[in-house]
Amino acid sequence: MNRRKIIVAVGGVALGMTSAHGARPERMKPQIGDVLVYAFGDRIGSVIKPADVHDDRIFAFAMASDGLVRDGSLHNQLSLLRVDEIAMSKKTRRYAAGSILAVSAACTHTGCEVSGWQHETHELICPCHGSRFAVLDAAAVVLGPATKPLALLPIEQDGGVIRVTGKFSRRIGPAPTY
Amino acid sequence: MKLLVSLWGVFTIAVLTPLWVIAAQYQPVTDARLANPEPENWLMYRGTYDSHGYSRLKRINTRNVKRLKPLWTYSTGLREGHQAPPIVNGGNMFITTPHNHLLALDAENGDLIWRYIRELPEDQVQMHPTNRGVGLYADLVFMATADCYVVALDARTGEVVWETEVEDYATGYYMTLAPLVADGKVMVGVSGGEFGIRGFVMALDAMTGSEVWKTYTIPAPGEPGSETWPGDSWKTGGVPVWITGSFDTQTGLTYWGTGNGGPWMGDTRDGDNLYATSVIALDVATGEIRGHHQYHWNDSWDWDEVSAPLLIDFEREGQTVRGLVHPGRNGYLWFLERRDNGIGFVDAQPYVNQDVFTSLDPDTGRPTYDETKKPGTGKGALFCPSHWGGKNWPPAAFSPRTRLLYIPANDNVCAYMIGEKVTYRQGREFMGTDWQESTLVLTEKASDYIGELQAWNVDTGQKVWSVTFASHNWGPVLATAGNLVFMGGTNDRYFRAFHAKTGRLLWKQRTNSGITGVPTTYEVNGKQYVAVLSGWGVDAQRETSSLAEIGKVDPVVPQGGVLWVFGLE
Repeated sequence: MNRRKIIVAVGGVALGMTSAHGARPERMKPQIGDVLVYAFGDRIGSVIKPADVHDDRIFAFAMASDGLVRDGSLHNQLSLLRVDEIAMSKKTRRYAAGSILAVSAACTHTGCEVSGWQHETHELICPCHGSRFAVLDAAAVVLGPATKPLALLPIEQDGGVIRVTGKFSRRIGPAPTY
Repeated sequence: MKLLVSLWGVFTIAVLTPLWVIAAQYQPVTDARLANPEPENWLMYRGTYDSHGYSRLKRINTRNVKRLKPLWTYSTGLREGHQAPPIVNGGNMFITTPHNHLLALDAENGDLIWRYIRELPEDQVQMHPTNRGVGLYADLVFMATADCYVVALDARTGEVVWETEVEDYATGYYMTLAPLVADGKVMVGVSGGEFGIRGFVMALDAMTGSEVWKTYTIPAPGEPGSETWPGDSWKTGGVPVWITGSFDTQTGLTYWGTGNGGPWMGDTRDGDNLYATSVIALDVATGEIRGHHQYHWNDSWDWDEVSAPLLIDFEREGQTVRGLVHPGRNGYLWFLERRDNGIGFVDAQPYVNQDVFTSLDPDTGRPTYDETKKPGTGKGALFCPSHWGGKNWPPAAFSPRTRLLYIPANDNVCAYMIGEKVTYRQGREFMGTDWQESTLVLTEKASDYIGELQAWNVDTGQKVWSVTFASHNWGPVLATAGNLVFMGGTNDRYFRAFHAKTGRLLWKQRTNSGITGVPTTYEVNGKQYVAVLSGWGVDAQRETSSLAEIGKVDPVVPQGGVLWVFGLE
């Protein structure tokens, strides 16, 4: 079999596949001006009003002005939380919309979804390996194996919606390894 | 030095050894060589298709092993679980690392020949950051990747020849196993049982990467066994395959171990859940399921049974049984029979403290359960062994010289587990276990030992010797004709050699990290070497953390991968 032909034949396919890892619009990170919508459940895709956010965590994605929901990556997923505004650290308050915070749902250890939320302690918990993050302290690590805080996304309350006002506070998920 | 940047945006670095020298030296891998590898080479995950993890080399033996020394090392520059066996073909060594680096080294002196670095998507979830090695065929090297591709590289240069997407990583699939290469095909199974996948084994044409067959481990409605899954649970029922299968060259059947069903709690999927926690026999030509044996039904303990059985012909009542032998994660040692019409049950017995099974059907081996030991949704239960099992993925080994099976076991660690409701969301965690309330629980004997290396005579079904360790044990096992058994696996970072007949410790070497790598041995220019990757991580590290949480203080095990190669000076 002719090796050169094989390389050429699959090369084009491989290039196409690589692009799937790239920046398709639904995989782009939240952009300034996007509004937050429900990521899952009965109200999936509908706009989250500030009054909807209570003690329970809401998973959210950002939605562009043309209606495109950026739901193509876990790196875009947010934990939307209502916490005690007075108890927030100074840094945390910079990202908050009043008492509402938007925190990346991708763990900085191995990238799992940080799906646990304890409102009493204001901690986000990763079920994969048990890392805990203190939301009031800019999502700093309380317990490893994670060593880096979760990213915060700056938001504001704008009429009846929650709007993105800037970029994430740090890189999403784990650091590159090499 | 030559730097090659491939079309695919990944990097292959070729250094030091001129490529034309490698090209002249590299001996293509054929079906005949895979079926009967030369003793000086280690061509596949367990050395041979029967998964014995046994080498016929004996220059290093019980008499001289005390003089074994490190000859060279190689740092991978990466953290997390280094689990791959150093695969060797004619003086060329191939190792893989977490995050899918593939290194080609001169097996004699440790010179780097080339290094392939897979560019993984940044949002790919590395729940189990590891890779368990390569497969070889012709002049190609194959790696299954975390973003769920099989990539084939030129063994001489590291150049990508083809790559095939097996599944979309964004839906929760990923791969960590070493491919099984047989009959001109590259076979891989998928991980992702924690994310609501539907498991399968896929065969690709080794030369082109095109799909030949794909067999799901969960039957679709109407297929045999589909009645064991309620409703739509089959679509997201897990049953991954994340360890390399065995292959019987005489029958053309491959044998694969399968993982547990998902979510973890059995009450979310009432029924036996075929072919979860089973061994399945797949026809290498077609992928057809030609037989199965389910070790336990409706799993609720996370007892993956992914280790492929060892193909061992053993004696029972004066007859030779064409057997399959499997030390299960469920704590039982299973003896099965390879039959023309499927897989038969011979016998089984616990090899560690197991308090869930109350009996086994003498004809089928089907267990009955103590229901108080079975966790469910909102129902906590304490059970032994823990969800990490009596033996996890680290492979056992078999020596035809001693007729002993060597099991890297863990005992005296149990678990209290309770399930919680969970809703499927594509690509997201789908385990349904309440980790705030679940915990490890130690028995009184845990103060004596947890880790263990056991030796069982396969003909008598009796345990012959055992070595115990204070630490938990995550060490894959290598047996050799030099009557040696090599194993690391403990958190004290030692790599050890034991007398294969007695278990007596003959040699040990402390390494940089804990060893969860699969040891291999090979020969170049008449000199025998023993090679192993040291690099603690993944579940070995998780169990270290979990044990620390309940007060069993373990030393911190440093991370960072190093390949160690030993020989006699």
